[in-house]
Amino acid sequence: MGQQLGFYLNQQFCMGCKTCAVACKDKNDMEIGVNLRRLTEVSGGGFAKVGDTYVPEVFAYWIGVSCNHCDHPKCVENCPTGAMHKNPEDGVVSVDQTKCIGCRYCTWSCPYGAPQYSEQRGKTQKCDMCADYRAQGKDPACVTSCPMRAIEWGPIDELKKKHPDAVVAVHGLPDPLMTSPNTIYTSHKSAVSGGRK
Amino acid sequence: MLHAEWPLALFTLLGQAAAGIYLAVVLVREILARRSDAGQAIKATVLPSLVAGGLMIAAAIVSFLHLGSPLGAYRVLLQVGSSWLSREIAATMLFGLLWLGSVVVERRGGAGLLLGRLTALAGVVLVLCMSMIYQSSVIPAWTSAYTMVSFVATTLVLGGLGMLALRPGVEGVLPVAGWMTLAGLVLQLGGLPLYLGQLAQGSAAGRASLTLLMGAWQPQMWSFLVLGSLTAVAAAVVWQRRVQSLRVVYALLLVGLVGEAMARVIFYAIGVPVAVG
Amino acid sequence: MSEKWSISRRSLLKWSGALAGAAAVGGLGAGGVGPFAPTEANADSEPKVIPTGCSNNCGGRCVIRAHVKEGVITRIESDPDPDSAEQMALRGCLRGRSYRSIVYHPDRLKYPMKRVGKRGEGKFERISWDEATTMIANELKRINEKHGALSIYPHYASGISGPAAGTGFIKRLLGLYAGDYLNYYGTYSSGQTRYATPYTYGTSNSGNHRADWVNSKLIILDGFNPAETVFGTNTMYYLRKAKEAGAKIIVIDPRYTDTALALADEWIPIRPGTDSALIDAMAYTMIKENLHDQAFLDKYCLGFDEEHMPAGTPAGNSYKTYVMGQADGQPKTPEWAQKITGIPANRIKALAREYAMVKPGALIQGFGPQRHANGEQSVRSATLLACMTGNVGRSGGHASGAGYPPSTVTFGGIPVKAGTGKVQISCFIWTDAIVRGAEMTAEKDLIVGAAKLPSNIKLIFNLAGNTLVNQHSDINKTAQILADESLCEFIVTSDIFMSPSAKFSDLVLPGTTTYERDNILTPWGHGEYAIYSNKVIEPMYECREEYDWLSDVAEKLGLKKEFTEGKSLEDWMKFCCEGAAKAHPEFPGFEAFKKAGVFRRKVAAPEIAFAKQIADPEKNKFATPSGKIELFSKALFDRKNPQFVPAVPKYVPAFDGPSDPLVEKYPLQMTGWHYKRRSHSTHDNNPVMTEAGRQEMWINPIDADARGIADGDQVKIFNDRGATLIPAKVTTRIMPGVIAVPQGAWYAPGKDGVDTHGAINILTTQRGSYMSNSNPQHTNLVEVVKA
Repeated sequence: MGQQLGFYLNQQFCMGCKTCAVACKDKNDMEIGVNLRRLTEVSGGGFAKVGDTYVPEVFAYWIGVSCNHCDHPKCVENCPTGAMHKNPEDGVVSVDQTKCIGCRYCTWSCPYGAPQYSEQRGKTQKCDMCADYRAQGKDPACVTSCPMRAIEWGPIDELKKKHPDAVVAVHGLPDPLMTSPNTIYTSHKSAVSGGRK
Repeated sequence: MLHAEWPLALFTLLGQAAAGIYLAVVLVREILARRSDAGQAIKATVLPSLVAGGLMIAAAIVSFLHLGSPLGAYRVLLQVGSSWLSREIAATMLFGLLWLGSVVVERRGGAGLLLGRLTALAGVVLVLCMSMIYQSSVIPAWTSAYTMVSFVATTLVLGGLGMLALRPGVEGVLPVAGWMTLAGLVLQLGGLPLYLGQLAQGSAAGRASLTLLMGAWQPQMWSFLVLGSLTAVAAAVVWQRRVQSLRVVYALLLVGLVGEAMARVIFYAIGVPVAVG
Repeated sequence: MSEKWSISRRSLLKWSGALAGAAAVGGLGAGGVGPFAPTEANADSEPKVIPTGCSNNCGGRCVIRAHVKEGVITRIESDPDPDSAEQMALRGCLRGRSYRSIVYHPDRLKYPMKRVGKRGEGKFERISWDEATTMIANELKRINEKHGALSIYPHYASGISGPAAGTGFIKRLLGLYAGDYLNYYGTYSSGQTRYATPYTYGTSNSGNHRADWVNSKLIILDGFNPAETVFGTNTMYYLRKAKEAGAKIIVIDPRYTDTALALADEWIPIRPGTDSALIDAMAYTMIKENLHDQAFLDKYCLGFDEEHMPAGTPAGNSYKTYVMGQADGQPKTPEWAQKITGIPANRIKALAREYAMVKPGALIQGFGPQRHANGEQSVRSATLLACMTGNVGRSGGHASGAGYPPSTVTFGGIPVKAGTGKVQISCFIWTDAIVRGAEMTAEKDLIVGAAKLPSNIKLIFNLAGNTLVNQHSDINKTAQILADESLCEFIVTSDIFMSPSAKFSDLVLPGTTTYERDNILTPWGHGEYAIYSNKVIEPMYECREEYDWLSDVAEKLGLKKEFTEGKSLEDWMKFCCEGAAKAHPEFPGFEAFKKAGVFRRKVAAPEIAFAKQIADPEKNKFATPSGKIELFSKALFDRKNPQFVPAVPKYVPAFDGPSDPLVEKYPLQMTGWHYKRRSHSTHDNNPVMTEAGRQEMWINPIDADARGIADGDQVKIFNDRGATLIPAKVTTRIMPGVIAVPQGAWYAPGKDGVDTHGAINILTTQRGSYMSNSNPQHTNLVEVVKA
């Protein structure tokens, strides 16, 4: 295989604006309910009563996920037709629309919700890291959309080198051992895995 | 989840009923063959054999309704090496071919028991493949070994009761049906507490499934428990007292079937995938 | 996204039906896929990429590159250019990105309609453009003759901004025809701060350029949530840069906002409308501990202490006298402020010390803290604190107040007849002016340009606006006033949807979206650029831009030549560019601007507000009456209303605020906010935005538990003015005692008159703020029950 591609997200600066999700939706013409890039809010904590005031001990952050183009993609393993496949050149997992029969097994197989079934198309849709844009020498739509410049893409080894602090597991993500994902995060201060601050 | 999955609920129930009935057919034949000969044994079980095949064909047709793009369904066999769904369909087709083969051979009178045994085996393999599809998902309510337990149980219960309803007077049917039904329900009802405990102690998705089960789907849950228990008791009584009244065995089949259908509906309804958040 | 939203099959079919006439449809079946209209037509053909822009009124203006195939927009890209050291890409947000589903929305208004039922009932009948423009010309003539030019009111509207908007052209036509019209000052967004900031500094341009934020060591964001409001393209990115450069960021807000979670080192929740109490206690702490910059106050400011008061002012009127309690016997201690703000006294002291000692520091106020009954005081208090810490006129500091930058890109506007539009009301009190305009005076109602109004408002032009009903306060009262056809006699609305405002009009005209007309877009001030927003597609259906049909009206009034001067809309844009060419030598000319889509002004270094005045105060005076920073304002003193309009910034308890006795009945404070999924009320009906963020009320678990409310429950919010139904988001991200409802949802009354869509203004008041008669929509008391 060539170089495995992946995403980097600077989660500490992600404000959950969903611009990436909508840019992706527009670029890929997705119907309502089908979102190839998704943001999930995680929040909690509480307020301590101090005298007649409340002191916040609150945390909140967003987790952005499209597809992690995993090393061990369960969706590919479980797909009965071979429509879901991992590109041997760059490790990008995508679904061949000419082969997908819409059995939805892949949507049961991904802990990140990456494969999304389109009722209107009768087929699964998912992030292919904007293969068409990459072929034209452009960046994926989500990357260039982010108002905070918090999303990057590239060979995962290079991203890891560029962001030595980044991790695959932030609090709220499924266990990375399930599929060995290729998205790394600079953790939000409250999302450091194993302990929220 | 349920709304989208009703063709699957129907497909699995039909497929398991077919596999179960055929299993019962083969077991009854084994008993009969020891007392007379294979030809007689086969003759006595022609009707349930045909019904089993018919149910499997119906199951296969229903499965198409699940597909978003059914025209490409032929491709579903391409990943037998890795996909349990491919294997499931392969097993369905194998069952169909073996069944067809055995029907043809049996018609010509060139009967042996081997083809039937192989057909029954294909049916069992099919049920295991079905179960593995769900067990290889990221839905904790499905990845449990209880999925296999309950799929096998449904196969045994519907197989046993179906056989009983089709050939109540034939020798060997009562003990086979009795054993199958009771074994199935003991597994299914007995395994349930373990399964619930597993969900309670598992991930957030598993707990969400449990919440659904104890909340919105509690009435269905109780229905299954009541109907399942009733079926077990009634099957035991029918077996021990050698009841042959058609009215009774049909009623028993109906109660057992509704109970199993209820369990299947719940199975799909409470499927909550592991997710981000 | 956890929110589940679906679009019904029926509406999709309706949609594709609507589009059938407008576009070639192919590929994936009729109507294409999803909310974005038919895009699969001739998938092989190369799209044309047209530079245009997003003109929603969020403060930012963003570059859009629209992909067009066979007259249909197939994709929306934003600024493709990479960021460089010199300039940041002008990237659009989710709203701009989702605009295709506005353009191709099935509910677009498609032809002119006149009202046939009672006003507000929503019954309309299709008419021709000729009938419509004739009706307008006739009504204009009749009402002008009967009630005079000042009874004609071009309404506040921000659905389309820029010179191509209808608001400029209607003023031009009214000047030519009637000789004048009733104008407004202020905005629904920034009325208090635009009014109050100049009392301190003589201008609202009190902010350093955002590029200067990297020089701050401490940034305090008070009610500032650019993650959702946007408030200038790239504002959040500038803040990220500041944080990476080492600034500590503290957010003061009742909500733990998306801005706070992405940037804040600390979050200080505060009861809405009590910012002045917090600031008073900070000032008290600084004075007590001698942390304030007395030299700065002595040199540049008027009114801090008794030694620096305008001649002839009675003793005891300085800020220090007030804050130390020498005037009213109540020192404004942190303990005093704790009871009002809900912030522990120790936290207030620590914040005071930090802001006084970590320099330079920028106290940046959003528009939230000023959108209150007492909002002008919050603004004036913040400017005072910036002065007390000497953070005015210096890099890394911030003078606070409205905070617009010292200068920006300048274009020409649509010329109106000289001398018109001078008589003005606060934009917030127009409903009052419908009922009792002829009784309104300069003294009592803050009328500008005349001692009193000659007439009530009788004719309203509402061009691309939703403040007629939805965005104005107290919807029930507004609806009642508008429903009386004897009061306001004629209402014309031009819009792209049958908005709640359009429903209350006599004539509804189908307008064009930002993609169906040429325009020039300039941000509110935060940005060194302008965008040429090219027309991307031809107007759909019978839709027409306002200039187009106003030209027909002008013709019917015999003024076509004077009104149009023979110019097309594009010609007017060209005309506006002449202003830019004069102001900016580097302006490349109309054609080059239109082609490139963006013009960026050359700036040597980030501008610092008041740098000149601070460097040489003798030579460079502040634009105040005294030439100094006026912490004490003689003009305000002369209002002779010290309790509610004090001459120095004070904490003035708000009506409907946390200390109003009404809390016995309505114990929860309700604030609004600008939700990422809308720009004001624009996009409320956009299915893509509905998916991105459902309309919901935030409530703390403590308040929710007390009311038996669980996350996701449908609840009813109510007070004496009305009630609305909305799902609850039970979250720790809002402080106890306060609920928040995002503004802009479209009013949708049920049979019982209860709004069913979480429209906040069913609950807000038409009473104007104390000092400027502005919009106090964040000051509310309510109760919430499970619906």
